[in-house]
This record gives sequence, C-alpha cells and structure tokens, in this order.
Amino acid sequence: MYHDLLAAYRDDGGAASGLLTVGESPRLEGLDQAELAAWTMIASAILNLDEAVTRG
Amino acid sequence: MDLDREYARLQTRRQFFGRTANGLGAAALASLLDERLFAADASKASEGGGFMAPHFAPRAKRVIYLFMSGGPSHIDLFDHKPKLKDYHGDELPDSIRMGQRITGMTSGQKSFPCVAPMFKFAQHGQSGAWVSELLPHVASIADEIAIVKSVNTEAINHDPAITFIQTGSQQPGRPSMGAWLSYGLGSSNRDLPAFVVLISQGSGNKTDQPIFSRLWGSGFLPTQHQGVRFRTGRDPVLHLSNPEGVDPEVRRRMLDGVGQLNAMAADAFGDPEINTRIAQYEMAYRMQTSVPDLADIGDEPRHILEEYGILDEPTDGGFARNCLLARRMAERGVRFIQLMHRGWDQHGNLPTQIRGQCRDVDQPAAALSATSSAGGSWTRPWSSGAASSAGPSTARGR
Repeated sequence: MYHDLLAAYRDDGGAASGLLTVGESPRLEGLDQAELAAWTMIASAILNLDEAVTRG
Repeated sequence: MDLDREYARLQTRRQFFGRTANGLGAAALASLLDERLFAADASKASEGGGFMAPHFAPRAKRVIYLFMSGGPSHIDLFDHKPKLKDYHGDELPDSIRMGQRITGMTSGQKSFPCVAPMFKFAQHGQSGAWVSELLPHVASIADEIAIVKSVNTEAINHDPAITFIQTGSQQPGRPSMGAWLSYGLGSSNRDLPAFVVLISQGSGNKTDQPIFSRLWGSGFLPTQHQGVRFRTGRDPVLHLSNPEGVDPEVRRRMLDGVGQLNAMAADAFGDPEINTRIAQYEMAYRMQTSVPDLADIGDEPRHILEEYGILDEPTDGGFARNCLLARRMAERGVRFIQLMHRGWDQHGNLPTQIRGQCRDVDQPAAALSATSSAGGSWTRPWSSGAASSAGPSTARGR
C-alpha cells in the first residue's frame, strides 16, 4: 500500500503538497513531500483500523 | 442469535468471497448479495438467504416515521372531547383516573381540574375525522390517513414510553423498528443506509425531553442495522469530501488496505463488530457521492418548496426540509426514515407553544403524505411520545 501511494504521489507532486497543507500542525520542511504524503495516508489507514479506535 | 453459527456463516462467506480477490471487504459483498435477495418482491425472499420469507407479503416498500417527541396534546389535535366543557374547572373524577399513577412533574399539583378544549374542532373528509383547527393541512388529507387512538403505554414517563414505542419494550436494549426492517429486508439502495434518522427542534418547548441514540439502536442485532443519524441543515453528513491531495483513487487504495487488515482481524478474533466496520467503511465511501446528490434540493421546483413550506418558515428547526429529504431518500430506496421533531412537551404556555409546533409540522407533513400517496405503497406513521390521558395532563400549561 505504501509503495502504491508513494508512486501515486511521485506522479502527482501537486496532490502531495496539497495533502500536506491539510491540518494546522507545522511540518518539518525538507522532508520528501511524496514520502511524507504517502506515510500520512498510511497513518490515516492505521488510525482507521478496528484496533485503533477507542470507543467512548 | 446463535453466535457459533453466525461465526461459521461469516467464515464460510469470507472464504468464498476471499477467492474473488477484488479487494472489497467480504461484508460489503455480502451486503450486495443480501440486497438482491431481499430487495426484490417478498415471494422470492426465501432463496438461499439467512432469513425465512415473511408470512405475509409486505405491501409497504418503505416507512417514513414522523415522531412528535414530547407528547403532543391529543385533546387539542385529534381527540375531540366536547363534553369536557361541562366539567371545566371541576376536579377530575376518580371514576376517570381510577388510581392511575401520575408523574413527578404533576404529582405536586394541589388539584387536577378538567379543562375545556380551547381549540375548534371540525369533521373532515368522507371519514368524518375530527381534526383540530391547529392542523388545517393535515385535516385536508383526512381521508388519506388512519388515526389510531387506542395505543397507550404502561410507562407514564416519556423515556420508557418512547423506548416502548420504538422497540416494543420499555426497558432499553431491544432493536428499534428501523433496525428490524434493515435486518429483515435489507437495503434497496447500496449507496445509502437502510435506516436514517433526522432530528429537528421545534419552536415549542426548547428544553424538551432528551432523545437518545438507543431509540434508533440495533440492540442485539448486528450494529450495521442501527439508524444512521444525519445532521439537520445544509450538510447532513460532515467531512464527506476528500481532503486536498486525496483523489478517489487514493481513497479507494487506502480503504482497500484498511479493509484487508480489518478482515484479517475479523478472521483472528471473530468479532462481528469488525465486519460491521468493514461494511460501514464501504458505505461511507459510496455516501461520498450519494449524500451530496441527496441533500442538494436545488433541483426541486419552486412549487415543491412552497408546498412543503420551506421557503417562508425558517422557525421550524428544519422539519420541513427534513420532510423533503425524507421524500428524496424514499425515492432512492431508503427503507426506514425516521424524523423526530422535538418541542411537544407543553408543561407551560401550551396555547402559544402548541400553535408553533403545529405550524412547524402541519404543512410539510401533509405535503409529504400527499406526494407519497401519489407514489403509492408508502407507510408513514406519526406518533407521539408520551403516555398521556385525558386526565391530569388536560390542565398542563393553560
């Protein structure tokens, strides 16, 4: 999944930088944008797993 | 439900669907299969599925349930009691009350006087149904509706009474009506939930009875059958659109990954909640396009908006708009649509509040009934939310 996403974000640099503008937290400049975007989606996937959800 | 059998059934399905290897979750495919089995006419519903065909072929294809939360005063709306004029101010006779329990709200009263009806009633339609002047639009469709006056509950407080009406038991924990329909009949639109709930706050009592999500809960049925509550207003579901930088293809890829990992967890633990989660994620993906289409009432002609009273009645808390959304959902195959309109618990200032509440609902409810009659095969009950009688409650708020 990571490699798929990485390839997609390498192809479309605008999408990668677009995704990285979402949210208020500052990000570390100088990181590879496509990599960071792909890992962002991986983190989102992990947080959406059944195991990751805390029920109130 | 036999949990061991249910687990075995899910396992068998997973092995079957696993071989198709198209990346969709097993439960999502299973729900597609269910749709074909159960959305068709009932005579075919016994083919292969987990459920028997119902004993009676259902004629209603969907239900729109307008729930008037708080307990509308029946003697001011549908229950004409002219004789009360003779007893105005008299103490309620024991022969009427017969020792009935009264609620904490009322038990402190020093007296329980009878009160004459304060609104005019007239008979309407060929049926001669008595309807109050507060509901002129509903009165105009008197022959289209059935008025049932015999339903009452053992519970005397709102919450257990509503719980009874919604689930058949005054104790929480049983599945709600919509959940049963979703479970038994499945969905006829794979892009929207089978059971949707919309809530509006009326112009009447603003500190009305609370409404809890268990009223549309699934009880012991799988949780994917619980009602999905949409927000009132222009945006029924928040955060539906993908963020910048996530196109549908990236979203699909991410959901496939989540689905596969969740399916592994379901295999390892056998928790049916995980299958529900897989199915709900697939549903959410499809709702990204189905909900904006549903909620955009810009394609409705002006005369429809006028008929529902959407253009000129901004104080109804969104009820009229919800009625129109209900019609649009029904057209799209949502099985059970429940509207809950709050504000009917008139302990104080009934004359003003009930007028406002009636103005909120009268026109859109009648418009919805009229359009749905034209479409045929609809059932749309309206019910109130408290076990009241012509007894002590007659005095409230006047």
